[in-house]
Amino acid sequence: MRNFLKGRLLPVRICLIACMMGLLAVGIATIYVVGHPDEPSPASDAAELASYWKKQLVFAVVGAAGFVAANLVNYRRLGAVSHWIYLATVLLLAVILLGKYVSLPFVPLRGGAHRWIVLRIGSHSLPAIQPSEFCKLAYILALAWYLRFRSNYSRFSALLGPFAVTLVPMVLILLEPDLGTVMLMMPVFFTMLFVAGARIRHLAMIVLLAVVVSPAMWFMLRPYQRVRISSVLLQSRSVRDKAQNHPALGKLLVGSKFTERSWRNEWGYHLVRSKFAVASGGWSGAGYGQGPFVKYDFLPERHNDFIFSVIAHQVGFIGCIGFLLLYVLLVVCGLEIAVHNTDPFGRLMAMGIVAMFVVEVAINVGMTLGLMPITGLTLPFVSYGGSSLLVNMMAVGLLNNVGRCRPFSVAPRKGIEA
Amino acid sequence: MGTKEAGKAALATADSTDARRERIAISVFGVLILCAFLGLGWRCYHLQYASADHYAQLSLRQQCAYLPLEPQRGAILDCRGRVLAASNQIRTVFADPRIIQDPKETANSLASVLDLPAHEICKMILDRAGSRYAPVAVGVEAEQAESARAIEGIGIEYGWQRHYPMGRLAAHVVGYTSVDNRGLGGIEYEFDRELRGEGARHVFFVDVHRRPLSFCVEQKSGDNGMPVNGDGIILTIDATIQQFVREELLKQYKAFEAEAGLAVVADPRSGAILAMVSLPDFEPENFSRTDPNNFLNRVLTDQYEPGSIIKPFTASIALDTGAVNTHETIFCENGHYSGRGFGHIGEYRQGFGDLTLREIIQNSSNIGMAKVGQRVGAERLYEGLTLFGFGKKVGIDLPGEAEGLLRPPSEWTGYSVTRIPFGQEISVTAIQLLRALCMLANGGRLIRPHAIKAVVKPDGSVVDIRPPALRVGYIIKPEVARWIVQDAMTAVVNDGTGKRAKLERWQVFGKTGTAQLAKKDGRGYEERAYVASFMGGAPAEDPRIVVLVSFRRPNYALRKGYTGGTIAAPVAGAIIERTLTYLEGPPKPTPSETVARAR
Repeated sequence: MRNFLKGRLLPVRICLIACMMGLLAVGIATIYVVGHPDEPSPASDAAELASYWKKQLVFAVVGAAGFVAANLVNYRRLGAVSHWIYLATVLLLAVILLGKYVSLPFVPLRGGAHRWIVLRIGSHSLPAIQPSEFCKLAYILALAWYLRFRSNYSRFSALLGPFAVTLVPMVLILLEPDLGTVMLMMPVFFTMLFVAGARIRHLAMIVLLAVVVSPAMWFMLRPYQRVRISSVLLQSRSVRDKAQNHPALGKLLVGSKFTERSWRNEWGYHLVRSKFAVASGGWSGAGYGQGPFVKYDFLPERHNDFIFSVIAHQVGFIGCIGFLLLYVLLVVCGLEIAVHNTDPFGRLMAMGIVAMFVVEVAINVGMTLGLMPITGLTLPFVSYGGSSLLVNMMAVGLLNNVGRCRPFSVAPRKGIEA
Repeated sequence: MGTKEAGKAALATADSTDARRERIAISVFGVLILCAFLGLGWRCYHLQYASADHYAQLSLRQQCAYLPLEPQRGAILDCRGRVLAASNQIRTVFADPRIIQDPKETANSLASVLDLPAHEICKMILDRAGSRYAPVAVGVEAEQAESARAIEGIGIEYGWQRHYPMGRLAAHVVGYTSVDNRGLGGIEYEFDRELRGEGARHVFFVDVHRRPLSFCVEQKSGDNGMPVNGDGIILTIDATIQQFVREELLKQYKAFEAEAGLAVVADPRSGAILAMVSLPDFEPENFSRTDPNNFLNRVLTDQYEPGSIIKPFTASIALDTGAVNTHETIFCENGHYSGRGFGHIGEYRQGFGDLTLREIIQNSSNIGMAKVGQRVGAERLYEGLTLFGFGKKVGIDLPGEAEGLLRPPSEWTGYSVTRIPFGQEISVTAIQLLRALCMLANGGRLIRPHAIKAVVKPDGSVVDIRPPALRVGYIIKPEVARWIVQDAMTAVVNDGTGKRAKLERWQVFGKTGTAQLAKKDGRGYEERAYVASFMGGAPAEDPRIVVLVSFRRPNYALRKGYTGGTIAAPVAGAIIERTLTYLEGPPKPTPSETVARAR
């Protein structure tokens, strides 16, 4: 168990782990400060909010166990069972979907979606499990395993297999509904195909197809989903004026009549306040535990989805750059590991995990800044949430595993020893 | 990125083209990642540095709540300090349905405080469920408000309500206000800025649930963040005289079924308006269903051809310019006077022969006045009438004044110079006539009519804002003015058309007028539609008050009369008698009576 540090690329892996620890520390510190405002909100969850940092600490310990567990065996052995893991998570997703139509006691409805499985022992309920989080990792594993030796993806028909592997969990998650995770899976899929040798032409074709199909998809979206996506455009005053003056445009964007009032009080509420929180951080920030957005409850969901706004409010622009650099460093370490591993499975897995982190960060931070649609995607290692923290730490564990193992080579060359 | 060396190392281990391609793919991917992070960084820069101030301001605005503090609107008092309009504090009990957990319980406890049925209160709260404001009771007592405030989810809102304790009495002068305490008419409108005061607002830093956290981020308005109450205004109007005037006017207005009636009393020495009544009027506290016409203060807004009532002014111009003197006689053509360029002029009742100027006024001879006008000439007549203030606003401190109409001589025809002297082809307002009369009565001194005496500042100090007496401006010679008042106009009351205004105790002077209303298209006059007026004053030796009474369209069909002498003169007489009695007290006993009583 203590051997997880042994092996190649030790400095890179130490750097990787240090970045992860740093992000974890920032996350727990922020969750703590957010849970202890000057003026607790009158809602009954004040005590619960105050206890989140402790829970997150427990999750981090569990996550650390996950990290170590991911290093117990050589990652290639995991690959051999990857389709079973994949099938298990898909099964969980299917159970959740079943819970949407048949009332299952362990599939509660939270925030208008069925995303969690809550198991009970006696009267105690265990922390909720979010299968779509685990599915991300299982999917990366399975796809990497599937793509590992089929090196000729230059034919379009060869892409159908990977497509099937992707579409099954994606549709299941889309039906939960969890738009964010779906938005995450597409780029990961593309990255892995790209690295595996698919032609850019084919990938572009798929993207083009998606662009053609997307208007139809748009009309299938529910109004609140539309609002979340169109809010990126609607934050501009001129677009709002147009939407208000041209009812057809307003209806297209938000699914109902657009009014400035609804934007202010409902649709744009989160985005506008998040931007205010970030902007009022200024150049150097309000300081740890300082600033109105930390002291008072101006921003909902600030312990998970919008945690970056609160961090930016406290640390300002300089701090934000430092904070984002932690992610950059983490990702660079991941790339370094991918480059150094010539085993296609390990490389693809590493690339998939790196892509997952990048997309998660880009979408989450982008949404708090008004660059991306608002989705339920969390900020890896920082946002409050057990499943996501465990999965992300296991993913880093896998990166570590890939990094430390000697690359598999069919014909080992002279001078390279284990 | 440091991948270059690593890449070289990788190259050494894997020489397959696939491996190299994969390496390139990873590099491309790396560049894309860099772009993504640069994008996030740029956005942070934009939000947190480039336009941080803009967002900080917007954010602050969202985090603040504003509590407006309304100032008390100034009171309007009559010249003896009696309240004509005042604002009282009014307390409104309201419920916050979002805070209230159990409306039934809240309603029950509130019902015992407010003497309202609990189910009604409960309904009011439930009807506004989801909102933050449900008014329950308006105008509760201070103690009730205090006990109501103690109940969870119940609040008190303080506001001001305007009261007009004298009701209709001086409605046109005082005016009226909207629900949000804006002046809409009369003094309330004209002096709205002074009366309103300056509001203030308290700014609170609030959390997302709008609960105040800290006090006052900015205090810009008012006196150091507290509202400044409005100025009070003291009028020259005397409510008692106003009462006399309205009573007398209303009596006659009803008896003759007139379309409108007006009466003004003024002090000729200063131009101060002592009473001003216009009928029909309105209820200033409840005016929502009032006919818009009733809001007109006809003393200021109605302009009409004055008729004979203008003759004393023409005569004084003639005397002042020396065109006629008081001794000569003018031949009045026995009732029919016509000539080239001015058509035919008839008399009102019977024809006259030779008349002196006094007799012309006393008998109200149109032909006599026409001839006087011809002697004076257009230029001098126009100049004289302009000096008396016709054809332009008198500049009284009340809104809605009309200008009247006096054309310049260049636009006059042959008719004008013979018609204007007896009040046709000229259009005046009652306030213009009153001002001219004041100037006749005070010996030709220029005055400006005014209804406001002083302003009371919120600290209690009184600032006199009466216009300074213009002691220098004489518009006619004092002896001419004295002769017109003491000789010609007293003759009208003693032996002429204005007999019904005669009083025993005081020598009244005056002049009647019965003008036909011009048709709307300006061609000729309406049948049996008159304005019956009387202007006068007393005592003639040293006029203390002047009065103008005028009725528009008295009902001719009643056959009770329609002339100024019949309708307006008795009202004016009664007003003068009651007013002077009020001002001077009961008649002082003569010395012999005093002696008799002593015995």
